[in-house]
Amino acid sequence: MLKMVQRPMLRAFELAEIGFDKLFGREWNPLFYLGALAWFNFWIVAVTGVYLFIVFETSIEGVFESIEYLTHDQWYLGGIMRSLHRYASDALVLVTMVHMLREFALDRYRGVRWFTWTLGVPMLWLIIMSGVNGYWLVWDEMAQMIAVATAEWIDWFPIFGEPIAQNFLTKGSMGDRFFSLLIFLHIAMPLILLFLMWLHLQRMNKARINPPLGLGIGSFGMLLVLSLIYPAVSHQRADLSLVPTVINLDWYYLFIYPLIDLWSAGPVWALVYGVTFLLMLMPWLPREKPAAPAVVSAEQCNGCERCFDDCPYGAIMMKSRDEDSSFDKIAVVNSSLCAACGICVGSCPTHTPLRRDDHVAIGIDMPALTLHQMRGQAVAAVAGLPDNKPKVLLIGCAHAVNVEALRLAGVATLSLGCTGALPPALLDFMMRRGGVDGIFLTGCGDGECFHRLGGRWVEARLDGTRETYLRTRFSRDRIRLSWAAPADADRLTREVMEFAGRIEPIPVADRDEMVS
Amino acid sequence: MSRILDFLRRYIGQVIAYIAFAALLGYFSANPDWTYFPDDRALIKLSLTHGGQRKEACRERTKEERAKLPPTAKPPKVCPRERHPVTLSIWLDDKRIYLRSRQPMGLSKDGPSQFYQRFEVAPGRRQLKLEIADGGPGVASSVQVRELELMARRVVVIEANHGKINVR
Repeated sequence: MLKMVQRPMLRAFELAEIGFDKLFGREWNPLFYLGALAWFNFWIVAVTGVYLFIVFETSIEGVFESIEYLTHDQWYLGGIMRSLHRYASDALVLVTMVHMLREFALDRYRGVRWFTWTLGVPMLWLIIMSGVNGYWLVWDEMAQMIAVATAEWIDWFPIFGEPIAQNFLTKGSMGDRFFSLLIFLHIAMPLILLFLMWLHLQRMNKARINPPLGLGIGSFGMLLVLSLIYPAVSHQRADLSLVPTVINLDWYYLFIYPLIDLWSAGPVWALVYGVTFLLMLMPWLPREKPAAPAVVSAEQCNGCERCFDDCPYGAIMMKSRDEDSSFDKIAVVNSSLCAACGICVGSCPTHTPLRRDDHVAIGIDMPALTLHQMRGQAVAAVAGLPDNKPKVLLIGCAHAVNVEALRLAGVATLSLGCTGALPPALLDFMMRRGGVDGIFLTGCGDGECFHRLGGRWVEARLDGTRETYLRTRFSRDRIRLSWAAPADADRLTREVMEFAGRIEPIPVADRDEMVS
Repeated sequence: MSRILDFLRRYIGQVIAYIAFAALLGYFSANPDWTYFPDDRALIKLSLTHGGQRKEACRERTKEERAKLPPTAKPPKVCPRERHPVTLSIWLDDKRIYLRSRQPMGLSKDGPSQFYQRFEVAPGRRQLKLEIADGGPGVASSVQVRELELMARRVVVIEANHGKINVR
């Protein structure tokens, strides 16, 4: 059922990613930095908010005037600050919503990610509540509408003795301290949000909270130009003896009010609670079959900490060894945090170099597909290729193009849970002992990696900038890497066939030399 | 040459993408308009706070009851606090537009009953009649009538507090 919703969404995101790749390149693709862009917009809102707070007058008479002064008399600074404050807030809602939809489409909200997803739901409401609260501070006709409609909406629950809406009957009903309370809330809610944003990332190792410089400059420039061309302005001053009529609504924050008007208060409360409850329950609907977590071998683990560094979920801790050992530390897996991506296997150096006949023993391994089995599958796949042509092995991940379904002539395939689980030593082994002449690596790649850091680590390991390094005496040209989302199957096919067409067989003498 | 074209295509494409995003942000930040209240209608806001009559009147304690109380606490009267709910009916030009009953506030149901209601009506000279029933079944209601001059977009606030009615 959920798959029926996820598939078209995923397809739409894949097409958008391809489009953005062409315009921005993979390194600046905004879809890979939605969370970081949310942080970026949050900081713009925070910094501009500090300036607005300095000149904000909290009395009923002064509040509207102080905002008008900023907007019109000091348009070159205060006006721009106000507009940036508004548009960055709008962008915050927009990128957060897209971030949420994309994580859902990619199925990245269940299993070990339940905590991050569930925490994201109140964060989204807190963003919206902070924004609504901010509009209230302007005390124009829209603020008046928000004040009265919000009070009447809350009054639908008879939990307060006196209806809150009674506070907005006439001008005399409101005291000067009212806006002091509102500004306090407008500072307190974003601070709580900031704390939740920090908490949101606690189960994410090496989370990106800043977009690349180019994307940040572009996004800020866009907000600045928008602020200059289409500055944020107020409605008429609030007057409780007159009802506001036409409102230029900010639909990113204030969509709830037309709904209340359309459906009445009760159904909108039901919608808000229903959506919140459903979103928070989603990680368990339907229940994901948990994959077996990584297992550490006390005999093999040398305490090098590479798996600890590379784990995208912070599921590995290093502990001192109790028993007699030549190593001080040992990796310990927290099974409740382990997503079974296998990236730790790709980072473990204890199997290097891989040999042909031994049972592969490694410091950390995946029960679902051990390194021994991975090596066996790769060797078996290549063994089925004809001997009269160069042998190419295509290795991909389960969350990108399905390499096995491509059925490319003369190309053996190996599909992993994550390409990051591939130890570089296996590549060298397959060319030395596995009879392979060329290896093509693919997967969902950095930015859109289902398991977050897999693509980044693979690139770094191949480039020799992150352990475990690829050590091979064969030409680096015999290994090609190209990330491909499921929508990129045609491009991947072309690239693999082009690669297979130019690969020359490794001379037997060279291979023998390597083996010896 | 082709590298220059690629460079231009890429950066022009980015500018177009940013413009599209800015247009999306800017448009929905203040558009489309939404009519919160029609400009040819008037608004009556009613805020009523009224305590219902007590359900039971005060009575003298019997000698037996007083004997059971400690020597330091022997008030001669006992006054049950619970009040009747208040039922409010509102007529505008002889047409009933509101009828609701509210329980007294408080855990002991000894506080006033609270009403807040807004009515969107046609402007003009109108007669408003409030009928408050606060003594339970069979007890006569109090009726108050006010003439109102309603203007488009204007808010007329009727505050009724324990029987006193203010029209503003």
